Amino acid sequence: MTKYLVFRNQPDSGQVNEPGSREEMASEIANVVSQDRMPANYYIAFPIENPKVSFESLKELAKFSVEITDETAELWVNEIQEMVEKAYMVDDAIGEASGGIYQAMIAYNNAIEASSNFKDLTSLSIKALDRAFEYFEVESAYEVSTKVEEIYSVESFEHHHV
Amino acid sequence: MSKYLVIPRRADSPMTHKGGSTEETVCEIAKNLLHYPGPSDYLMAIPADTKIATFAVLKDDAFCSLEITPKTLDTWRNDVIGIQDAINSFQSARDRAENILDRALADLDEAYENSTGFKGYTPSDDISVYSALEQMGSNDLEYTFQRALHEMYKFQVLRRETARG
Repeated sequence: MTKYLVFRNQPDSGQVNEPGSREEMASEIANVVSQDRMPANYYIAFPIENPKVSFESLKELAKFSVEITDETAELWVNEIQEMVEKAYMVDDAIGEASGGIYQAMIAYNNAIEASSNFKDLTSLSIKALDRAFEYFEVESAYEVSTKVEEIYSVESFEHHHV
Repeated sequence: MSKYLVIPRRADSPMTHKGGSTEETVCEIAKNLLHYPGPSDYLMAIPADTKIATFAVLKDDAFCSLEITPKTLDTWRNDVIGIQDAINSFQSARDRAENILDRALADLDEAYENSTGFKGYTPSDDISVYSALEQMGSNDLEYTFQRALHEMYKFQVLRRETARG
């Protein structure tokens, strides 16, 4: 098992995770757990060579720690990556679906409001729809994120909406 | 206030309502409220206090009756079409939203089902556009609006009939 510390990669650092590396994997895992869906290399990971010294001194700066074994690395490649991708697709679908419904709701509410005899009809609540779609977004990401956090023993060093 | 009966126009009848007339609009209203599947010019509106109207009732020929005032005529022309279009657009947006989400969720469900570590959870059980919109009462939009129109035009069904071919 290797433990990695995951940092916010500064945009001007010139550093990136090596493609296909465990460091890249640890950064992606942190991204999934954060549920922020940041772009590639938003995080950068380094293995803790000497847990007693490095971990204590660096965790002040790190955002997450992630533990990866050969077995869980395989699980990431074979199952979880695809699942994360599908969960992101659900998020995208939620965004697209809600956009269309919002527009239609606003058009309906405006038509009622502009009418002379139908102002008494109940207008559609944009807030209620907001709440429903917000719940969907949280639900679609939550299950994967929680499992990933558990499997990779992810520790979060700041308050993220995990 | 004027009351009209709406009857089927015989296929060989040369009589049509003048464009923009009250009778033409009455036929449009009747078509909408009856959910009449044919075009509105398959219908004819006749004032209820005429002999033809009495005859149509006796012959069981009238589809419906409705009452019109200048104000409710304006309402139809200025408001109803816009609101109806908005309701239709909303239904389309909802259908589309359900389709988009159903497809994405089916893929995610499948990924869960095929996994070893995540089996046992079905994401689509927790995410349903249909139930969210149902809770908001949006499924009743069409019904509520139709009911308001029925009341406004004092609409009464006298006989159900499908459109001629």
